[in-house]
Amino acid sequence: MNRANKEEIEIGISGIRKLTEVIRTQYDYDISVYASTYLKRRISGVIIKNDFKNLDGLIDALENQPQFFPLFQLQMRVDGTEFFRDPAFWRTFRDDLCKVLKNNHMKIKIWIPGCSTGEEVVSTAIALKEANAYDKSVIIASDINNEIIEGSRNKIYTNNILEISENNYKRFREDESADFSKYYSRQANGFAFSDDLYQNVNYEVFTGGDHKSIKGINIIICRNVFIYYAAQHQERLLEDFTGKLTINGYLAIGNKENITFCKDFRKYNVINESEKIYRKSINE
Amino acid sequence: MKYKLIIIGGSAGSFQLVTKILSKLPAGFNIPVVLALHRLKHIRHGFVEALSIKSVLPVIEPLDKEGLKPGKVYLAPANYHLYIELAGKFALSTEEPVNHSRPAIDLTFATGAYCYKEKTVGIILSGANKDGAAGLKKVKDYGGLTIVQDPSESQMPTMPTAAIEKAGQVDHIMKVDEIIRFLTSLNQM
Repeated sequence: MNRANKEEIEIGISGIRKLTEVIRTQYDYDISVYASTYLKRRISGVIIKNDFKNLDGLIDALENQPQFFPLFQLQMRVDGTEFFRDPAFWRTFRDDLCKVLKNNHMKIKIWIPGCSTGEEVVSTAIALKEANAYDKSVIIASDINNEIIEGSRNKIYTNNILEISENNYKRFREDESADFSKYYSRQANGFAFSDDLYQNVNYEVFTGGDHKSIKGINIIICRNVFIYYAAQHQERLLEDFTGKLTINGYLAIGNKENITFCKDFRKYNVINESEKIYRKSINE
Repeated sequence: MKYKLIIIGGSAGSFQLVTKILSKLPAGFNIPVVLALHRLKHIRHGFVEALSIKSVLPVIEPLDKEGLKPGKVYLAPANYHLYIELAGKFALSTEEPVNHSRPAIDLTFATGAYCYKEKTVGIILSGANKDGAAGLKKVKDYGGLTIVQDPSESQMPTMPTAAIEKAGQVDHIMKVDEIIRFLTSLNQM
């Protein structure tokens, strides 16, 4: 931990190529899909966290210790930032989207790909409860391996994101006295949410392509995931999402993300430009 | 033309300075200007509008993977880090705060310097913490031009002082009027 404050380790293009090749051959996993700055920063973070000497140390571990790979994937992912990030989005979700979905469907199927540390999952569950839509909803939370998912399930969150989250919640409710603490309990080393919020959450490993339970989705909440991918892969990701949404299903992305250049974007109508909410209008 | 990228970092006490700089940059200014300024996390709207009032150049918050173009001013959006990538594009990130900040000035400077090397101009203005110092050092290391606001003129001298100490031998310590004269002179090259 003595290197915790160490500055980022510079990683050159040839190093990235070598690492990409090792992971591709040995684990059939492609890290070239990621945006380059993000990839370099995360790799540097993994090297520092595990006290490897340099990039070759990391490559060596990946070549010789297969059990390290899931941990590598876990350390590469970005932690969620806060609960109810962008309160205006959550108000739109609660007031507009939930209303439409409640009226039109017996069961509302929500998919949160790249659920990471689960902040969006919990925020979704709370917003659904407050829209009286939780009981008829199922939330599918997915990420790329079991280690990440295990970390998301009933997680104890550290206190450093509590204050911002409580303020977000007040803004979401537009009520200075709104009390976020009714949903969580204090733990020795942080705070955790009550079991009933997780009751309708199903966790799945998803790495792309067809999936037995991820289909017929009414809304995909995937905010600030596209930003970590290179443009070509953003294209593929959107195609994957389009295939899994029902007609009139919604897609929500981060407010500064951009998918308008993707071929599949023509299949969507803009529902809310500032919160980046789209609705799938055609299949083909 | 010598320079292809101008990055300005600032925090407390920098708003008026940035406004003043923008009011003097002429239409068609031929180098993209990127602003990495500390701002309230939860207030997404209003900052661009406030900066636009006196700016001749359009001020925008870039979307993810948007290309940098001359004649424009880009502001790092609230609650995102703003990276500059090879191929002259922005990339956004919600990775953990750096120096308690997101956007972190250090990251925009470091990624910009990596891509534009000696064609980068990095400018650090007033601020109450040390974000930006490591970033300005990267600009220096990659052969770019480093400018720091004269701490004696800064409302909050912590940030410029830290940048001067960390970067070692910055190219210019200037008052804001001198920074403006220097920037406008670049446009005539």
